[in-house]
Amino acid sequence: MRFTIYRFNPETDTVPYMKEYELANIEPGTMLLDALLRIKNEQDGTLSFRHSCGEGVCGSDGMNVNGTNCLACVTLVDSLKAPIVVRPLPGMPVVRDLVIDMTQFYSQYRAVKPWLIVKDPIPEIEFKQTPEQRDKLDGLYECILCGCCSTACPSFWWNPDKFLGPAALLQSWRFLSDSRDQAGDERLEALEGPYKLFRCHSIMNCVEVCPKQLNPTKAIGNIKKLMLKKMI
Amino acid sequence: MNDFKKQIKKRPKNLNLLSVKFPMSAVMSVGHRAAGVLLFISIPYFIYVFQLSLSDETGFLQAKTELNSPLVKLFLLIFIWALAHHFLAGIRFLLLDLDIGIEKKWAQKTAVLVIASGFIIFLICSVVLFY
Repeated sequence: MRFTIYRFNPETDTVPYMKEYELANIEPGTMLLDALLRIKNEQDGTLSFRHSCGEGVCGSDGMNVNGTNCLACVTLVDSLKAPIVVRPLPGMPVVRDLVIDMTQFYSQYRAVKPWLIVKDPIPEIEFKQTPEQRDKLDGLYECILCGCCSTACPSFWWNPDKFLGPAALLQSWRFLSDSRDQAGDERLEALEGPYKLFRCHSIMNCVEVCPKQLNPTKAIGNIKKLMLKKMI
Repeated sequence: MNDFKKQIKKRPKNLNLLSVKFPMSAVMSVGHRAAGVLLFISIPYFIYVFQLSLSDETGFLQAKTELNSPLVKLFLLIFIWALAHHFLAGIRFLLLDLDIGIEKKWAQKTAVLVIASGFIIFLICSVVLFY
């Protein structure tokens, strides 16, 4: 099977280029990450990409495969059309080959204060939630911050410093809907303005690519509804 | 350290739009914007034709002749497509705001429905205008 992979080494290359590899004897059920590791081990040791857990939990190996963002470790080679074109996640500065600089992505994540803010004295033993209150966090807490969604979003490509992006906004809603959090008003106030939240135009690229089947568009809509509710 | 800073600034980005596969919902959204721009820039022409048709009897006949020319008919067809697509896509976005069709499987289906409906209206109007 033929692979076309994006290559860039800052020490030797001035511009990125695509390099072709041929990989034979791919067993059924092989994941893309395994195929990339085989290319690295058998053909080209200089090929660079991030990976860790290998089972869709750590979110390290997000990449753009045949035009769609995905996690290489949970993407079956059999499900892809050859030649398999592998590129780094779009719109992010490339450190080397498929390794991107996630600084901007993390700073937007940090901007939504992804932690519980509690103003009352913290209970000595535990916070209590009803099962219904806990259920509200389902579909939100599972985000692994792989960056597939934000880097599939044109609003994030054009305004990575102003628009928070689907991943950060999903986390914003995760804490806004947490019964234990007591900073809802401040969180909503921080999202005001034309860019941070409202640059989302619901094109739903994020929902399409999320490897954990989460729905950032719905979360963003919920934040907008809460803002409206507070305003009225 | 300075070399490192320069290297960071020179980092390329993979942002070749032709290499990115856009889902139907994104294609529909691009169409929504393009249709919106087209509708907006069409306003002066329609005001001109409307004003001409209201001026007097000769003006009305002149406007009628103009609207019957093949080139204007073609423009009208594109305008009708833009209006249909923009209207239907707008309804879809309003429904999304109400959480209707916001799930992954429905979002793509409704996007295809909007694109297809726009073209069906375009085809029907082509038949009506040219035959």
